[in-house]
Amino acid sequence: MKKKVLIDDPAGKFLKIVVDYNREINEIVITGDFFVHPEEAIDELQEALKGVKADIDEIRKVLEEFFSREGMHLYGISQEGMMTAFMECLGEKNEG
Amino acid sequence: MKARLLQTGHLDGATNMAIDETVLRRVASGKVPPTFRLYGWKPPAVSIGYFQSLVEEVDLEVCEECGVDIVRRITGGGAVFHDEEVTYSAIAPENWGGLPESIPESYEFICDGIIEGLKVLGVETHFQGLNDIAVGGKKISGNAQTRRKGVVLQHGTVLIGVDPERMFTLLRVPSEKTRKKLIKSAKERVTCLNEVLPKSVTFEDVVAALADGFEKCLDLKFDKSTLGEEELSEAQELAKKKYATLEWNRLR
Repeated sequence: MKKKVLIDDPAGKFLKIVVDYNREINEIVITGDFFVHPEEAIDELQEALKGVKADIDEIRKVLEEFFSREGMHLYGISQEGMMTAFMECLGEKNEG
Repeated sequence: MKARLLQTGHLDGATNMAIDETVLRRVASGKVPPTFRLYGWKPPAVSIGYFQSLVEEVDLEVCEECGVDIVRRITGGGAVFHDEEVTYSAIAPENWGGLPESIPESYEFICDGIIEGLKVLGVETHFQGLNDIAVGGKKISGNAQTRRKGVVLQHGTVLIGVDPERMFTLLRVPSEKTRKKLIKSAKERVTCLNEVLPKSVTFEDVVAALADGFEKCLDLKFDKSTLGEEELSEAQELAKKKYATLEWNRLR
């Protein structure tokens, strides 16, 4: 199942994710007009999400680890925004 | 402080982005000094941010019909239509001169040079974080930065003219209704030199003013030069192998 979600990240930029998943995430593309330094971090996040169970708690764990990395700088994109996007993709409502 | 000033005139999108990256590489390897570059785009081009999806953001058919180039930048941020503007790039080691370590502060540090340059033209502007310069709240300059190999590359635009209708014909939008909204909002939020100045300015006027602004504000002494032969051929090679390829432009 392939889903595409566009959200207005509370950090200020647009975040668009395309997720192809069944029980696990097969393919994930994260796009938008945000800034991430170093840029490769987003590719690494995509890689880290591949194969993860299509379950919001499992995804949260990966995102938490990613967003707590040291030496990474993000502008316009946030863990909260990314969670919202994944919840929409997986058809779950944002609990807050 | 000494720095190099390059004026490369109007070039196509792939070559423009390849020159910026080539200079970054050469600054990193110490082959060239910190470099400020002023340039334009011919044909006009849409550049997209590093993380954007080309097919989602840009109407490729319309761009082709209109003879508008497309190119992916190595910097993040949004899609930009480059036509009536002066683009600059500032490329220097992270530890150069007064360049702040913090990314937001370094945006402002470099943008202050642009603000000084616009003052030369008679326009009072202000920095609007993270990465814009505005006149009375309306954006006149957008900027984007990357840091690679210990080098900061910041490039940005100064709008001489602006045409939101044209821009949103080249970009993909979800619906006609959204297109109208985006055009209206751009007209309210974006301005250009020809709107804020009593008489129109040329590309050359703006280039000269920005060069002045950087020198004054950042306390620089420019060595005006052109791309070296080796540098130029490296850039042309990079344009061909990277920035002009579908592989790069359709990366996402």
